[in-house]
Amino acid sequence: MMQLICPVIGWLIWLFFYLHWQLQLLWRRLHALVCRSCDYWQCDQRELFKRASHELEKLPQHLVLVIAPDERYVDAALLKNILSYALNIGIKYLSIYDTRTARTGHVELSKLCEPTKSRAMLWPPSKQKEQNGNCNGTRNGYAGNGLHPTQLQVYQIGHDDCHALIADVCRELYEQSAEAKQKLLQKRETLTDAISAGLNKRLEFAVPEPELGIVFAKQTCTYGLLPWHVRFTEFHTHHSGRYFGARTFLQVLYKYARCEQRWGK
Amino acid sequence: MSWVSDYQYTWLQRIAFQTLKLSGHVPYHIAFVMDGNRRFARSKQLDKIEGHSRGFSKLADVLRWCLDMGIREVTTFAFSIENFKRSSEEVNGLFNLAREKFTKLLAECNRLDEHGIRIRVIGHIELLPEDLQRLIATAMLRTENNNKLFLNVAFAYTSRDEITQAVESVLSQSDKDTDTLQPTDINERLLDACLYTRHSPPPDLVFRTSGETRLSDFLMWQLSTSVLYFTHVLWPQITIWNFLASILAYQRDRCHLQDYRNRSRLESKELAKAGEFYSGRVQNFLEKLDNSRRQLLIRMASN
Repeated sequence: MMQLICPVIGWLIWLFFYLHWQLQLLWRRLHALVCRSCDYWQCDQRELFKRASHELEKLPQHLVLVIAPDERYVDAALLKNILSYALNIGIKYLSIYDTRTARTGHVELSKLCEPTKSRAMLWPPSKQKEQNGNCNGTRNGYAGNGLHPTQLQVYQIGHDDCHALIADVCRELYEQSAEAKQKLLQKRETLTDAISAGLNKRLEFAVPEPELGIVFAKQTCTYGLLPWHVRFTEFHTHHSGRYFGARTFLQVLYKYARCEQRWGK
Repeated sequence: MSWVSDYQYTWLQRIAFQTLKLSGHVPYHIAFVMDGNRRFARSKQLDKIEGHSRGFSKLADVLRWCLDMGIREVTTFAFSIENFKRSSEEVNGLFNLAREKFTKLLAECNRLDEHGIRIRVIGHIELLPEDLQRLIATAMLRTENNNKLFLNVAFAYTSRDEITQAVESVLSQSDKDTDTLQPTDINERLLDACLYTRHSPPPDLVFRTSGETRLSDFLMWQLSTSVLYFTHVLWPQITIWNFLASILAYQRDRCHLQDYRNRSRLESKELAKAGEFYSGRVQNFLEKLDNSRRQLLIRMASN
């Protein structure tokens, strides 16, 4: 009897899930449309950021964005907004791990930001920075002339910067002389430090490990993001199709500020 | 308290259990971050160690659910290397609890054999007290022929330490060895095969309790294609409904990840081919690695 009833219940559950998912997506898109219109008419969000920067007890220094391979709602305009929000609230470093391909919507950051001699890019680019200094901040309801006039350091993380990079460092250490290897093998901490140094050199990362990650996807997954660096990163999933505006961004930061990091203690 | 409990299901639980089992994909491998034992103890005004002990009792229930669900591999995060920073009283209390549980495990090995449970402790075991090392090594060797449910207990473990250990295994290879590894053999596929979890597939689902949404340096290398499931409930308070909710969430989310997973699997295969992973040279190296790990366990067990 159970063999007969259970698959029928299961089938009904999946039907419910499917309908729920479709209705939820429709609701999210309608909600996004309304929010976007509200943001457009509400010109100045400086107050919002000012209040948040007073209220937030801690801020991540390094924020990482993870974009799923099938994410359709994150485009260059949204990324630009996020970069501006991060700059306005006072985040210093922002990394973007976009797992999509050019065909499925991958955003090339070098087109948005100003390249530097190192791997880090700067946001806003110098030209735009000057313009922002004079504008009245009406673009998409968000002011670029916020509380923190400095530029934001932006890094684009690729698939090759993740597991493959650790293998590259291992290969580099393996090719060292026998004496150098023996030195590394004396204590595991020495080897850990050597791997960290090798990775940071290759990533050109002179920045703290990301403290907060926002995953743009239908489900929570790291997609292999920097396995060495995100061990204590707080992940927040922003479900596909939902509107992401200044308020959403600040909500994530408020949630992060409430988290207690215990570092094993 | 046994390692696998005799959980009695109600009829409703039985129906829900069978429904999920028959109508969706059951994960092969689940990893649990058993967080919230101390907060549970505080909320009930209990001693911290009592909180950890209740957490272990809950693990026995969870193992029973996993066995009945048909899950083949379970990995649990029991003690992080970072946890050595806790007070010596708590660390010693945890070690005493581990001693008690592993002694009990050795006493009830027949029951584990009956269920086909193999215990593998992953982590830097040499950091633990010698008597605990002996118990752990004995338990691992005693259950090494079982193959129905693999229980990996991460003890004195961090992912960073595990990756370092994998790199260490590659670097430790003597240049005098015949058939030494070539630099071109070293890639992520080889490092993957040098991890503590080298005989386990990556977890399909990572389940963390207590509302924290970080991974705390647990299986960072392995979980790139896993569904991450976070719940607010504290580990000792977890019920079968929380467990079933996580399975349902996995069944719902896995279809979105399937393409990415297939692509990763394909890339891994291509990498294995390009790096001559299946060559005699690399396979000999891995065989030696297995032998040296087993020899270490035998040495620990006989100490």
